[in-house]
Amino acid sequence: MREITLGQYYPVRSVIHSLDPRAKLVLMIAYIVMIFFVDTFVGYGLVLLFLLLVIFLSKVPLGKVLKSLKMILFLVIFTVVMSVLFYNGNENDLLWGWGIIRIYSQGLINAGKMALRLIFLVLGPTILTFTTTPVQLTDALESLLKPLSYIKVPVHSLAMVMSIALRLIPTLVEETDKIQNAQKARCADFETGNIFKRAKAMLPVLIPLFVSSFRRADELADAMDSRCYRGAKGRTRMKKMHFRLRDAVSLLIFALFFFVILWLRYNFFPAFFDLSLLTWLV
Amino acid sequence: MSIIQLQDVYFTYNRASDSEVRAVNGVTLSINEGEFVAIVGHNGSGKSTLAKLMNGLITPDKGKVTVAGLDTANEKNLFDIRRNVGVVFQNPDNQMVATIIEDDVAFGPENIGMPSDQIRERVYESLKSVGMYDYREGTPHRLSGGQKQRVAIAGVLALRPRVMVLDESTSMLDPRGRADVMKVVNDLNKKEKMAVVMITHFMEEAVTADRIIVMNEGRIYMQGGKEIFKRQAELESIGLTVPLASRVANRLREKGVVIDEDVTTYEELVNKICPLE
Amino acid sequence: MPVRIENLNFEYNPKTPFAKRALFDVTLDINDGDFFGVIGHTGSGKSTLISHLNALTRVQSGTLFVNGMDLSPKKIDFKKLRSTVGMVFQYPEYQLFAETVEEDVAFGPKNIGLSADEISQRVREAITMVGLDYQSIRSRSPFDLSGGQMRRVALAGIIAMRPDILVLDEPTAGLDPRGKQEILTLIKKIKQTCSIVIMISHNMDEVSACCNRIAVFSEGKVHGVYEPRELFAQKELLEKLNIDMPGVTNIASMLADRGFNVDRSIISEDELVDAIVGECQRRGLCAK
Repeated sequence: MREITLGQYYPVRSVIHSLDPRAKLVLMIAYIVMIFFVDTFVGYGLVLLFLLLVIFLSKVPLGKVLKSLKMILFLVIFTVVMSVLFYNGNENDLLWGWGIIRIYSQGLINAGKMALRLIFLVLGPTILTFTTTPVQLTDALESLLKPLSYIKVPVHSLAMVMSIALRLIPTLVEETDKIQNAQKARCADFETGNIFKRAKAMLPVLIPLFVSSFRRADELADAMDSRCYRGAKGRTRMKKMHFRLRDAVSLLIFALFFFVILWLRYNFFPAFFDLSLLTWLV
Repeated sequence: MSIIQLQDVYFTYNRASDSEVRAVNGVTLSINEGEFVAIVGHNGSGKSTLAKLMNGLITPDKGKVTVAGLDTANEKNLFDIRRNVGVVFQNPDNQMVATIIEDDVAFGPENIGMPSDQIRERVYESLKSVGMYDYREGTPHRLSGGQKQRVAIAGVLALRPRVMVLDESTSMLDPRGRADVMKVVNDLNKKEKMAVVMITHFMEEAVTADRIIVMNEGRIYMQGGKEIFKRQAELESIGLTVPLASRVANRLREKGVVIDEDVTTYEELVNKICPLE
Repeated sequence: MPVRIENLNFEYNPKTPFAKRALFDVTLDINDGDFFGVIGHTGSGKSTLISHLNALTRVQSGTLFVNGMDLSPKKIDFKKLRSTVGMVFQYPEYQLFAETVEEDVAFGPKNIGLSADEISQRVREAITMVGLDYQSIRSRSPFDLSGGQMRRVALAGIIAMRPDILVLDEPTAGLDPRGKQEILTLIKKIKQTCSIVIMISHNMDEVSACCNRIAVFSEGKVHGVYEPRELFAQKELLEKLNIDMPGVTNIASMLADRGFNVDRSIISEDELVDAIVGECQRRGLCAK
C-alpha cells in the first residue's frame, strides 16, 4: 500500500530531492515543452547527457528509472514499426523492399527520433515522481495555482481533496480487500461468468464500500472541524516551501540548456557561429 | 472554575422525520478546569452526542452549551470554542488528514495560523508526550490502532486545548493499545493539568476519574466518585458492569468478608484482603 | 471432522523485496468438540492462519486438511469448503449490503445453490437463532439497525450456511458490556450446532471463559497449545510472551504472591470469591 501513497517516491536525500517542488514542477513542464524543439540526434544526445546528470544527482539507481520505461515499451515499438512501414520516401533512399513493404533510411531516422522523443517525454515526469512525494506535488500545485483563486477557482479546496484522497486510498484498498474476503467466505464468486455477471457480483463489495466511505467522510469532516479547520482562511503551513538559491540556480541552468537546444534548432547566430557547418553530425 | 457548561440540554437526531431519535434529554453538567470526568453508558445512551455538543459540532435543540463563556449556538464562537475543546474520536482511521504523521499533527496549528517554526516545535512536543516522536516521518497507515490513536491525541494536543474529550477512543483498540492510550491520557491530566472528558463503556477506564457520570436514555442516571460502583445492581440493570475488583469486593462483602472502603482496582482489592506487613 | 495442520509455512509477497514471512512450521490439531482459542499479538500470524482454513489464503508449503479435505491442490471445491468453514471476520457488520435483512442473510445459502424453500427456511432459522424477531426484522434495511443488531445479522448470514466449523475473529470487538455478553452467549449456543468453534480474541476473560484449548501464537509460530487453567497459571511464561491474565486469575495470582492461599489457576469469578471466602474464614477475617 505504501506504493500507492508514495507513488514511486524513492526516499533518499539528494540535491534533486531537496529542490522546491514548485521549481521541479515548473522545470518538468518546461522540459516537456523543450523536448518538442529537439529534432537532431545531437540535440537528443545533449538531452540524454542532461538526464543522466540529473539522475546521477538524484541518487536514484539508473536501473529503477529505466524500469519505469517498461510500461511504454510496447508503445515505443509500435510507433517505430508503424512509422518505418508507412514512411513514404524517395526511391534512391530505399534500403530494402519486398512487395509493398519498403524501408527507407529516412524512415528509420524518423522512427528513431520519434522513439527517443517518447522515451525522453516519459523520463521527465518519472524523475519528478521519484524525487517528489505526491503530497509535495499537491502542495506545489496549490501554491502555483494560487493566483487562480482570485478568479474564484477553489484552489485550496481542490488541493485538500487531493491530499485527503491520497491519505484515504490505502485505507480504502485495504477495506475493499477485507469486504471481498468476507463475501468470498459467503461463497461469493468473483472469478467466473461473463463481464455482466462479474460486474453484478461486485455489488456486495461496492455497496458496503460506499456505505463505509460515506461514514468515513462524515467522521473525517467532524474531526477536521474539531481541529479548527475553516478552509484556506488564515491557514499557515508547517512545511513551508522555500524557493532558495539552489532552485534559482537550477532554473537558470535549465534556461541556458533550453537556449542551447533552441539554438541548435534555429541557428540564431549564423554570423557568429554557423551551426549548419555541423550538419555532418546529424 | 468551569470550562464547559451544559444547561438543560436537549438534542434529537433527524428531527421531524420517522427516524427521529432522542439522544439527549435534559442534561445539565459542567466540566471544571483540570478535572478528569468519565461519562459512561451503554451504546445509544446519548454519551457520544454529549461529545459533539461540547465543541459545537452539533447545537442543542433546547438549552444552552457554553465553552469558556462562549455559546456554541453562535457560529462566530466556534473557532475559539474548538481551540479550547479538542476531541479524539472513536475510529483511528477516520481522523487522520495527512499521509505523514508529523503533517497530520500539524494540521490543527496550521489551521489557527501559527508561524511555521512554532508549529514544528508544538508538533514535536506533542508527539513526544504521546511517545510517537520516533515515528514522525512515517505514514499513519503502518501504525497499530493504539499508535494511531496516540497520534490523534497529539493532533489535539498541538492545539493546546483546555479540555480533551475522548469519544470512545479506546473501543476499537486491543488491550495493549488501550493501556497505552489510558496512560497517556492519565499523564496529561495529572502532569499537564489538562481537563479530560473520557467517554467510554469500559468501566475500568472510569475508575481513575475524579467524577463519573452515568448516562441512560439521554439523561444523567447517576453521578459521583467511585462509591457508585457499590450500586452494582442498578448499573447492571442499564447494561453496564462494574469493574471486576469492585464486583468481587461487593460479593465478598455479601459473604461476610470485611472490606470497608470502595475498591476499584486489583491492587486495592488485594491490599484489603491481604495487607502488606 | 477435525482440522489437521502440519508444517504450514506462509510468506507474503514471496520473491519480492517486500517479502514477509508470516507463518513458520505451524502444526496444530483441532478436534471435534473443541472450542479452540487462538491468542497472540497483532501480527503474530493468527489471522494468516485462519484465512487458510477456508482457502482465502492458499497453502504455500505444508499440509492442511479440513474435514478430510486436502487444501493444498490448486483446484478445490471452494463452495463445499466455504460452506463447511463459516468465517466471521472482525466487525462483520461492515459486510452487510442487501436491501433487507432477509436478503442479506440469504446471500450465502443462495451462493451455495440451495433451493428457494431450503434458503427461506435456513434464513428464518438463522435470524431466530441470533435472537432477533424474524417477522419484524426480515424486511428492514440492515443499515437502519443498531450496531449490536447489525452484528447479529452478519452472524446469521454465516449461520444460515450451516457451517460445521465456525471461525470467529474478535467477535465482541467494539461492543458495550451487554452487547459483549449477548454475543458470547450466542456463540456458546451456536457451538452446540457445530463440531468446532475457533475464536481469535485479545480478551483473556473471554478466552478463558469459553475455550477448552488455547493456541498461543508468537511471531508466526505456535508457542504451544494449552488448557486455559494450565496456561494462565504460568505467570512467568505469560510475562515472557507479554500476554495478559484473565482479571480473576490476575487477582488470584497477586494474592498468591503475598502468601494468601488461593490457587493460581482460578479462571472464574465464582471460584475466586469462594477461594477468598474460604481462606478468610480459615484466617478468621470474616465477620460471620
